[in-house]
Amino acid sequence: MSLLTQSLLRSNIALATLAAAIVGVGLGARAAGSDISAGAAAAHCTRYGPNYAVDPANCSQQFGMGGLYTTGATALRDGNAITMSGSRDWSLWLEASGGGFPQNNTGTGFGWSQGGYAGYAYAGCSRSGAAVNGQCYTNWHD
Amino acid sequence: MRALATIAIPVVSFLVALVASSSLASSRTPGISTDIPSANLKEISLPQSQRLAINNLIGAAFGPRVGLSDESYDHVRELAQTSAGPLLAIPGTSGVCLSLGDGAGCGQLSRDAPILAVLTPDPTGAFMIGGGITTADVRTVHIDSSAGRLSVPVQEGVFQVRETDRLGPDHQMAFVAG
Repeated sequence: MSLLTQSLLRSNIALATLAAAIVGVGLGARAAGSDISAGAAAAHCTRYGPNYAVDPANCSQQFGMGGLYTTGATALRDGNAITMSGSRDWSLWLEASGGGFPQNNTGTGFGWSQGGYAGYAYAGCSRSGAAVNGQCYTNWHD
Repeated sequence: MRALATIAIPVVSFLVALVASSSLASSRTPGISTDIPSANLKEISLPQSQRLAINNLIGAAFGPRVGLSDESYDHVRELAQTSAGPLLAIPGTSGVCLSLGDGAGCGQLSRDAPILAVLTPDPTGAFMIGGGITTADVRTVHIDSSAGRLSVPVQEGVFQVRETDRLGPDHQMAFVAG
């Protein structure tokens, strides 16, 4: 193989790798949504069901789910979500510390993501039906 | 000649990669499967602010799973107008997302999962409202709660729960196809 050929091959591979990376990043961002960063702007994340953890590396990591879960304390909620690996009946809510449910949804499917609440609230979720992997988590700030 | 080849070959490679990636992307157009009746509903246009708001809710939790993309928002269907806002269906390449009020979620209709639905409280908080979509063979959606069973008719693959159905809030509801 001549030096010219090797040189061309190297530059060709390098540019093709760069182009693939650019295209890949572009497609990845397109697939993931155009403004994911807004969702990650919250100060904290708590997985409260079924595997409790504050600010875990992957807040929406799924585990085998039971029935009903709630956070142990109130917080200023930026959002609340339930995600499941299969389609099930679900409920998702924020319960204000003073009473009432500023967010309260029920439905069927892979889950739901709801907005926040300006006051202090507990977050809760439940699912029913056959066994499934899933997770309930909430974004909140101090 | 050597300089020309040094420039031309990488440029040609880049263009080939670009065309290939464009073809790949366009071959997976988001849409409600044609065997789902709600696919026949008219598509509506959403303002950019509403697209972003819904997309922020769907985000990474559901979007990649149902193949949601920017193009999905060009194929939105309005399933119903409710007192909590419009109930919308946003199709991905492998599932559908619903949006109602300050929330959004997704699912994948199948024989084992013939209903995709969401309910939210009406502005008074007394009753749950909303609805969803079904597969073609579903004629009625039964909603079981602690108060009993509510049966709602399905028309063109869409059902709606209204204030007049007087369905109270409950954290344990079941959606049953009939």
